[in-house]
Amino acid sequence: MKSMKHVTKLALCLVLLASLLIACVPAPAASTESAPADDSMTAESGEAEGPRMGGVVAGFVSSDPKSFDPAAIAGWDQGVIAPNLLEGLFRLSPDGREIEPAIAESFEVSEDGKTWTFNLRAGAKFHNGREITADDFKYSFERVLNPETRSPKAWMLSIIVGAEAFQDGSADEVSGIRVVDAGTLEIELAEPLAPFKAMLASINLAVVPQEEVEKWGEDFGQNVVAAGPFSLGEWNLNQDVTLNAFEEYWNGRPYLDAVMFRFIGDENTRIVELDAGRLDMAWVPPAHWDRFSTDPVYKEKLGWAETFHTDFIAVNLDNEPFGTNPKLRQAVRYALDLDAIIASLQGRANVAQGLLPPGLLGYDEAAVLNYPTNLDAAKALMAEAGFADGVPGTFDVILPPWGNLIKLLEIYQANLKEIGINIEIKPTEFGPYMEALESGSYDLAWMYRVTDYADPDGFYFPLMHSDNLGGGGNYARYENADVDANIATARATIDDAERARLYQEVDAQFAEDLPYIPLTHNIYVDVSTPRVQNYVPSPMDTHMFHRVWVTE
Amino acid sequence: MLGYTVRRLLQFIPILIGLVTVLFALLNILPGDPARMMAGPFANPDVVETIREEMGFDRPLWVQYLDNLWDLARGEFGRSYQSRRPILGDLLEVFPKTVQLALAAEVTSALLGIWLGIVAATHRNGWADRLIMTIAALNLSFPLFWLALMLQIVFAVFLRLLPPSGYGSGFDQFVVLPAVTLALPSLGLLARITRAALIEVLGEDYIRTARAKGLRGVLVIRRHVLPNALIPIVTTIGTDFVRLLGGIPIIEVVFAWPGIGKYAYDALVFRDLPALQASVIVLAVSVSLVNLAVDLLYAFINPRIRYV
Repeated sequence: MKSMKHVTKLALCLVLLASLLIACVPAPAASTESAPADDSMTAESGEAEGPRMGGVVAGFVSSDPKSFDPAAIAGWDQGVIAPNLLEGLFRLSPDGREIEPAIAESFEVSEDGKTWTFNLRAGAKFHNGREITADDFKYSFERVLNPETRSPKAWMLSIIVGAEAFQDGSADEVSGIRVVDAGTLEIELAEPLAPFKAMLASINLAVVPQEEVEKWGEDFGQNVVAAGPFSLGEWNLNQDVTLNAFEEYWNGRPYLDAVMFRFIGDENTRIVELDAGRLDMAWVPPAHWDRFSTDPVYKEKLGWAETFHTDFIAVNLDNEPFGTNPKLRQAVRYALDLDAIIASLQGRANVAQGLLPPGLLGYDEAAVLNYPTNLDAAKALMAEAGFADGVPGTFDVILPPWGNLIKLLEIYQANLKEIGINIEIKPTEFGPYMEALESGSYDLAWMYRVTDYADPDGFYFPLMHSDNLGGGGNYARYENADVDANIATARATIDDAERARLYQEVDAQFAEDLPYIPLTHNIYVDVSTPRVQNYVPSPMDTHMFHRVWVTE
Repeated sequence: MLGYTVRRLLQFIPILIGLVTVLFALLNILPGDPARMMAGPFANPDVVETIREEMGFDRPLWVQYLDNLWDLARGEFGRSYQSRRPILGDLLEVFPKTVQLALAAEVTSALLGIWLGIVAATHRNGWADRLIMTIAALNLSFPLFWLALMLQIVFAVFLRLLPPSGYGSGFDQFVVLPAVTLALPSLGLLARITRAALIEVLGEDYIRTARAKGLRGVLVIRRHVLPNALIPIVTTIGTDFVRLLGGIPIIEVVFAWPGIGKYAYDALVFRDLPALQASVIVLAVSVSLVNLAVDLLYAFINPRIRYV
C-alpha cells in the first residue's frame, strides 16, 4: 500500500515537472521568422492572384558559407546563396537556363571576336547607394586576377590581354581591361572566346566597390557590399544569414522583404522543420520521396531542376583493353541498365545520351548517341571486339567514397557481369582519386562534371580537347584532331547557330569513340511550403529569390 | 591545494603538445587535400598548385609542424581556410553556445537522475524502483540521433510545443529538445549510480542510529545519506559533463545548434585544418579543466580528501 502511494506521488511529480517544463517554454515563435512580415502592401491593388510585396522566406543551406567574397567562392553553400547578393555584367535567368544582361545593358563583340564592349546600365547601384561605373569592373576583375587575392577562379580572366603580365607583377594594371568612359567598359581578349559571356555571368566575376573592399579588408567576405537584388543582412555564425531586399536594384526591388537561409546539415531535420512550419523549403531526401510525391498539397510544390551535371565512367584510353577498343566501350554502354538506375534514384535523374545535359547550346535530342539497354547488341559488340567469352581479369572502377554511389555502381557491376566483364568497385579518397585521374594511373573511373559556366564549352573543352590532356580535365586522354578543331572553332565563334552545329559534330564523334561512357544527369528536387510562389530551383545550383513571392 | 592546482595546470602543457602532434599527424595522414577543397571539385591542377603555394602546404611537413606549434605557443590559432578570418573570433562565438547546451543537459539529467535514484533507493525492490531501473536501462540503449528525431517529430511536428531545431538566445525553448536528448542517456546512468551509492550508505550503522533517534525519512536522506553518497554522483556528473562537451557534434548537427561541435564537424568536412585543430584544442582544454574542477570538488564534499 505504501509503495502504491509513492508511485502515485512519483507519477504526479513527473506530470507536474513535465507541465512545468512546458509552461516555462513559450510556444514556438513561428511569428518571428516564417510568418509574413506584414500585409501593408499588395503589389497590384485588387488583384488577388498577382505577386504580393513583403514577407520573408526561410530557406536552407547545409553549412555556414563563411564568406561571400566573389573572389573566394567555390563551395555549394556559397553558390546557392551568392547570386542573390552578387551581380556582374551578366546574370543567369531565374530558372538558371539563360544568360541575361545584368549590369551590362548591351554589348558588342568586334569582328575578330577579341574586343568586347559593354554599355553599362545607367542607374545601376551598389548596396551602399553608389552608382556602378566601368572603373568598378576594372577594379573587380583585377582583384580576381591579383595573386594576393588567391581566387580559385582567376583562370576565367586569364585570357584577357595583359592578364599574365599583371599576375607576374611586371605590369600594375591589366592592359586589356579599359575604361572608355564611366558607362563603357572594353575588354580585349588574347583570342576569341565565345563562352566568355557565360563566364561573365559567374558570381565569381561579380562587381564589388573598391571603397568597401578596402574599408572591410579581410572581413569583406563577411560584410559583402555588391550589386545583386538582395543585400547582406544579419549573419549569425554557424546559424543563419538573412538577405534583405535591395530597394534600388536596377530591375526593381524583390517582392520579398527578406530571405533567411538557415544552416541545417541534417536532411531529416530540414523535413521536420518544414513540417513544423518553420522552414519554407527543403531538399527531398530519398526516404521522404514517396510522401511528398503523393501528398496532394506538396506534390504541386515540388521544384525540379534538371541540372547541368553529367555522371559518366571515364576510360583511360592509354590502357588495354577498354582504352584501346571502342567496340568494348560501346558494349559496356549497351549492357548498362540505366532505366534500373533511374528507378533506383526514384526517377530523379535522366539517362545521359552524351556529355551535354539537355538545355545547353548544341544539345540535340535527334543527334546524340542512342544506346538503349540491349544485351544482345552488347554481346555482339563483345564478339566483334574479340571478347566473345568475356574480358579476362577484373578491372577496378575508382570513385570518390560517397556512400550512395556504391549502391549504384553495384547495379552497373551486375550488368557488366552479364556480358563477361568483371569490375571491382574501389572507393578512393578524393585526393588520391584526383591524382589517379590526373596522372592516368587508373583503368576506369566513375566521375561527374558540373559545368563552371552555362555553356557546352564547360564540358567539351576540359574533357575532350587535347590541350587539357591529363590534369586539365581530359582524364580519358582523348586525342582527335577534328574534335580539337571543332571545339577550338566553337570557342572562337560568336554565332550561336554555328556553334551548335560544331558541337553536334563533336557529339557525333563522341558517340562513336565513347572516351567517357555517359550514365545519368541529376535532377535536383526540393519541396516548398504552399505559401511560396514562383520559386524554381536552377540547374546550376543557384537559387534565385528576386521574383519569388509569398501568399499570406 | 593551490600547489596541486598549479601542478595540474602545468601538466596541460605536455598534454597539449602531444595532442597537437597527434592531431597534426592524423590530419596529414588523413586523405583529403585542403588545397583541392579550396579550389573546388575537378579544378585545374595549376589552380590547386597555386593555392598550395600561397597557403604554404608545399613546405616540408616538419617546417609546417614547427610553424604551427610556434603559432599556437603564441596563442595564435591561425585563420580559417574557408572564411580567411581569425579562428579565435569564431570560437569565442560558438563555444559558449556549446557550454550552454551542455549545462542545460547536465542540469536536467542531474536533477532528474538524482531524484529518480533517490526514489528508487528508498523504495528498493518496490515497483517504483523496478520501473525506474527499467527505464534507465532502456534509454541507455537508444541511439542518440534516433531519440533526437523522435523527440522532434513528437514535440515539434505533432504537438507543436517546441521548435525542432535552431538557436534562440541560449536558455529558451530552443534548448529543450537537444538538452533532453543529451540528458536522457546520462539521466539513466545517474539514476543507477545514485541508487547504488544510496543503498550502500543506507546500510550503514549511523543511518540506523539517525532513524532510531526519530529523524524523519526525508531529513535522514538529506542530512546523512546524500552527503556521504555524493562522491560517486559528482564523479558521474563530471565525466558526463565532459562527454557532453566533447561528444555532441552529431546532436549539434541534428538540432542545427550553432556550437563548437557543428563548427568542428563542418571544418572536418571542408578540411579546414586550422579551424578543426583550434576546436579540438579548446575542447581538450575545457575537458581537462572540468576534470580538475571535479577533483577539487571532492575535497569540499569530503573533508577527509586533501590535496598537497
